[in-house]
Amino acid sequence: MSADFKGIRPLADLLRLFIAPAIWLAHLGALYAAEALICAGPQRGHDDKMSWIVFLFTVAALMCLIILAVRTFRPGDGVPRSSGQTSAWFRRITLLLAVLSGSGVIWTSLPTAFLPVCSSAP
Amino acid sequence: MRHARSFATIVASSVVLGGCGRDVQSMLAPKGIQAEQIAVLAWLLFGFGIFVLAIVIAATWLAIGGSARSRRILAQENTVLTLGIAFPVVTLTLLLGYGVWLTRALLDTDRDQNAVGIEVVGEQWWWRVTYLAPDGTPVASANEIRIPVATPIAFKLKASDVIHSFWVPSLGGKVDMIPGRTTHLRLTAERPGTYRGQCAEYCGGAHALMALEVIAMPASEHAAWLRRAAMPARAPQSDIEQRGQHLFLGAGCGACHTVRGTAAAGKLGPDLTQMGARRSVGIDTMPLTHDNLVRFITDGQHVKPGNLMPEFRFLQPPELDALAAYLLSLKAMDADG
Amino acid sequence: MADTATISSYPSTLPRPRDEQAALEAVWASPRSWRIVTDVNNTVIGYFYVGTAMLFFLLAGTLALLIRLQLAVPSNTFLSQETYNQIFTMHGTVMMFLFAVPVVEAMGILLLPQMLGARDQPFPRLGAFAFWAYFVGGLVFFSTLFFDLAPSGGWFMYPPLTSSQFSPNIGADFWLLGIGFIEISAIAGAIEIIVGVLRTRAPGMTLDRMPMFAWTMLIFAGMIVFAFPAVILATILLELERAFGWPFFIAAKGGDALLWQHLFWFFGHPEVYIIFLPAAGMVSMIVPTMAGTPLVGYRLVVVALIATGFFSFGLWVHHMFTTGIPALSLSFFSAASMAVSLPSGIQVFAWIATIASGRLRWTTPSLFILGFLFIFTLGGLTGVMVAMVPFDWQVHDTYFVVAHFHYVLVGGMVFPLFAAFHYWAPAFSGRALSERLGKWTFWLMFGGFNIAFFPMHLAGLMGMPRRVYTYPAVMEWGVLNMVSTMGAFLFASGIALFLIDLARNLRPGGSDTAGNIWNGGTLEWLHNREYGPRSIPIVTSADPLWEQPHLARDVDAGRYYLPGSITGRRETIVTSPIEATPQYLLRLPGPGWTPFLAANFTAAFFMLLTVKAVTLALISGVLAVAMLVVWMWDSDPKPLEPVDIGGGIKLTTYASGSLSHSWWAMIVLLLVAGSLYLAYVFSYLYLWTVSPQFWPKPEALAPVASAVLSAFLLVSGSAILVAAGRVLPHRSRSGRAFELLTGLAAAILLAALIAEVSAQSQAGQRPATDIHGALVFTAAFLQGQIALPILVMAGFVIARSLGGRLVLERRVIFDNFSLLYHYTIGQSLLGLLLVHGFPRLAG
Repeated sequence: MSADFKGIRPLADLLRLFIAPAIWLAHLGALYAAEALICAGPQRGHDDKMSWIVFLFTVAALMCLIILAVRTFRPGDGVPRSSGQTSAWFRRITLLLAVLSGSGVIWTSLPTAFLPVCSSAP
Repeated sequence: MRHARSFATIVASSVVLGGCGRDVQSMLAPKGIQAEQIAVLAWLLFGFGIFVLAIVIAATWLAIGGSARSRRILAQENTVLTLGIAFPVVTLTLLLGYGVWLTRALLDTDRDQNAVGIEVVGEQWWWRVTYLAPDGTPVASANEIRIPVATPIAFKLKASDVIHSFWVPSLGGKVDMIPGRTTHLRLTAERPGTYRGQCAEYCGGAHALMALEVIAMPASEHAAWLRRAAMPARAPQSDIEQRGQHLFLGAGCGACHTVRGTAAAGKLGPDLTQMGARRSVGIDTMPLTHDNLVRFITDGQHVKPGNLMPEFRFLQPPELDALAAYLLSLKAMDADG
Repeated sequence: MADTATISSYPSTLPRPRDEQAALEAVWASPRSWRIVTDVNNTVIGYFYVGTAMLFFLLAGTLALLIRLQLAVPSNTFLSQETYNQIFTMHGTVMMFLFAVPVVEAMGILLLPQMLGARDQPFPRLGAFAFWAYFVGGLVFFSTLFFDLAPSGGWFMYPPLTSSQFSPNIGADFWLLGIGFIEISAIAGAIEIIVGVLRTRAPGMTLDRMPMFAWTMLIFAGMIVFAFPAVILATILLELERAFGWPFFIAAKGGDALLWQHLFWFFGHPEVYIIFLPAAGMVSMIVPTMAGTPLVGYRLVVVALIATGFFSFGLWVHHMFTTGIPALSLSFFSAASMAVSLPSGIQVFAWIATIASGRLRWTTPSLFILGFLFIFTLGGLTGVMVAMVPFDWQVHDTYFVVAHFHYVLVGGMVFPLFAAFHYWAPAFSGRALSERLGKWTFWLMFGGFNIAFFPMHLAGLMGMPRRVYTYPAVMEWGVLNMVSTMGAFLFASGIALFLIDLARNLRPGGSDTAGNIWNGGTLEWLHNREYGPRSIPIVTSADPLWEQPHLARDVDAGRYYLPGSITGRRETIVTSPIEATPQYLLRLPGPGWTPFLAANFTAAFFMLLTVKAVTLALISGVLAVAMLVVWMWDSDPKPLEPVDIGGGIKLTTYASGSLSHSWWAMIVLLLVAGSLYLAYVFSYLYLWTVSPQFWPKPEALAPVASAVLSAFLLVSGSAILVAAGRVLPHRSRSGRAFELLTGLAAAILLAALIAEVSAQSQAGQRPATDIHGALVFTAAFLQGQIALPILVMAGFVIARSLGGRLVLERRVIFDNFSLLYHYTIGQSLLGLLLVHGFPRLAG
């Protein structure tokens, strides 16, 4: 019985598929939280903290996605140890998800270039 | 551009909508700066939508019955990537950029000018409006907002009970009124007229009846009107009006309603100092007439079910006549009504 | 297992023993007549489930017709204001919670085992429980309408309108407790689906060969796990406010009405995709069959599904563009709304590509798919429009939005569902549905839908807000509304025709079905009975019936795995989650009263609480728990000797640790609990940003020492339970150390909770005074909510150990209990850190 016990490896393999979009979600959540906290504080967004935060988070998120994408070109790295066909399939999916999530990250950070911090509807 | 747009508006309202005569509450018939900017965006979006829908329909059509070559192209994974990712990325980036730029433009509109401040509080189910007279005294009214034309108005929006949403489509977008918060909206009417608005956030019971009217008037007229409106209520002139005032105060109306210059100073219901100058009774459920006033007083739960005012059925017809006469007399001298 | 791509010889040899099939049939036979309610088999439960969901579709649809009648002409008096408000609230609530989510879940319960080549779902009794809870709870909830007790706050129930001050009658409580309870049933179904898809696939069905519907159901269930807890927390908070005055949404005491909107839409926006994805999965199954060619871009579609699953969680503020939130925040969500349209685009063009690569047959399912493509694309485009912030400022809460989401939901989900009914009927019924009637049904529904809903775009642009029970004639919305009403009745006539078709042609439950009349390529088109296929095939491609020509014949002859019942019970093969390698033989339970009774008592508990019959509610609650205990008592059967499923594969009959299917279920359950708690942490921090002035100065807080004491208790509890695991006895029993340690661990958890509550009380915190007190006691409430089941489970673990049913070789019950216990300790420690640490950090 214990010979069949493979730890939580299958679960980890499965969850690895979700890293790229999770980075996107984390990036969005971080920007939203940063804006909420800056605007809740006493000095209500009179500083350029936000642009720095956006810049850092976006660069970090994109770096992670690029690393993830690059790794998919190296067989046997970061993908389930399984028959060749399935693992190539996993790599391809990961790559596409990284591309999609990357466009999402860029879109999310785009408006910060135009809009003032903490300014409400007209 | 503007001609093209108004032409499009006319086409939309007369052909598609089957000859819409009234456009007092249509976002396609903008009468304010903000509404016009949004209407441009709207037409752009409609164009974009039709374009993409046409592509999808055409692609489906070709996929079903097109030539062998076109079907072979459509059946490739690269086509899926091009039409499903590359094309939307480009178009949506443009759209998003324009949307953000427009948001910025709307935020900046009239930011540095001296805007006229008006406070509107959403109540179940009416609007409490407070102007500031030039000397700083607050002037209370209800359900009717008079604004000067071509002047930015800074609305300060609050809610006293549940969430409401302040919306006058001809002038601009809507903003919610949320208990415990103050929200802001800037609108600028470009030409005189009466624009209808309506509560857009479901607020229970008679939500459907919670309308309001914005009356845009030339700036000079507006200033004169505000001066008059800031004065105490007109004293009753005739016998019947006097009897009406007596009844008004005696029946306890003053517990909820204010008539400035009298003992009636209740805050629960609408201020009635200018009642006679309003255009309707029970919001816009009925035009303001003697009979409709009487009906609202005795049968208000049918006119606007669930409103806080009890039905005053114990009043006899002559008493009601007097009360109505008094209320109709409540308007500033020379007010146009 | 050897590479499944090449089959040199069949796993089982012919001829099969004479009585093998009869024995298999006997084991899986459904109880007769009214005892059918005790059945737990996915096919039977699936029929009930789909039928009930469709019943609610008809009921809520009838409400829609009443709405349309009222709005047909201006100043109509057909319905009163209050009745109308109840009706539109119930229409939305029933459609979303009692039809849309349950019906796709029901299709999953019915179809998945067949598609995956399993004999049943991995937790048949949980499936039965989820169904009956939904059935009873849903019917009681709907019938409130007949007693004028229905909620009238709109389907998203915004406080403060739904607070006890502005909605004093119990309609809102029915919504909160009833829907909260049905959500729990949906989560139970989601757990079942996740484990089923990951662990009960036919050998060789690797993730990249899985039918697309299974992929969508996997993502669907995963989204439920993360989305539903947010709304469950919201309903808990609002009910605590209504019942005990804890002021979460009352501004004067530091609460905030927008908190509800955040929590609700964090659930509500993914909900739209939760409904849409399984329907998209159905489309991805039907299009290849109708075009006679495999799905083009299989992996692109999988990418789209995963991306949708995540992106849809970044959209919730999309519903709050008019609440005065800073414009920059809004634009983040505007951008996210753009991002989510990419995966939809991929799917649409993948379907078109599939049509192009084959030849589309003009069948009823094809028509519904084409109708879906048109309507859903249009709805998606208006979705892009409302994602533009300034445009949304105009059309938000108008009939434009009503039109938009009906295009998305009816187009995106109802049309594929009807395609699915016509498509899969022959797999379950002795006769297929009529093609002639089906085409009429389609045209009536398609025409009716567009006539009903397209004019609503215009009405909205002309200023008509949603949720109005009447409008004055001068607005000139009358013509558009009259057209809409006529369209609605046309649509309804299509549905009526469909019902006639069903009555004439649907013959479910027989052992002979109409069969694979469309020439579908996936396993549900094998000859399936209650127990699924006769033998469980080896799968070597995504469309096994197309690639393995004699598969259907051989499967039916019993040439593949598990051609009979080996242990004399219901059983299915558990396979590995990615490669689908056989791992062990799962023995499944048969019919029994406990799921049915437990569901009824649970429903009674919630409904009686609503009408404030507390004693009766408690009795029902205790009975429900008793039923669960009885049910669980004979779960986790004793390990047997390894068995031969064919092909020389010997499988154990028992598994523990991460190999066990129930370990996966427990992990998913912990994700649910974790999501709920994170939603609480979000609420705490969010409310602090809104009303920091209500947070006490550090010196007024409960002393740090009390937190340290609680933390010490919690950590030692964990250590003690680990020790208990170490002394878990072998077959031969010795001493009572295991029971003592387990009991001690449970008691310590309770002690830590009591210590925390009393420390907060002594520090002067009261839940109803202000928002800080309310949040502090909510942490304790959530803690208690999980500690209570832990106490019951600890008792159960001890009882099983005493009864000799829990030993080292048969330890799954203890393992799962430990997982929950350690999770709870972690949650408590996080709670202590938040409640004691954050105010000191922020103050």
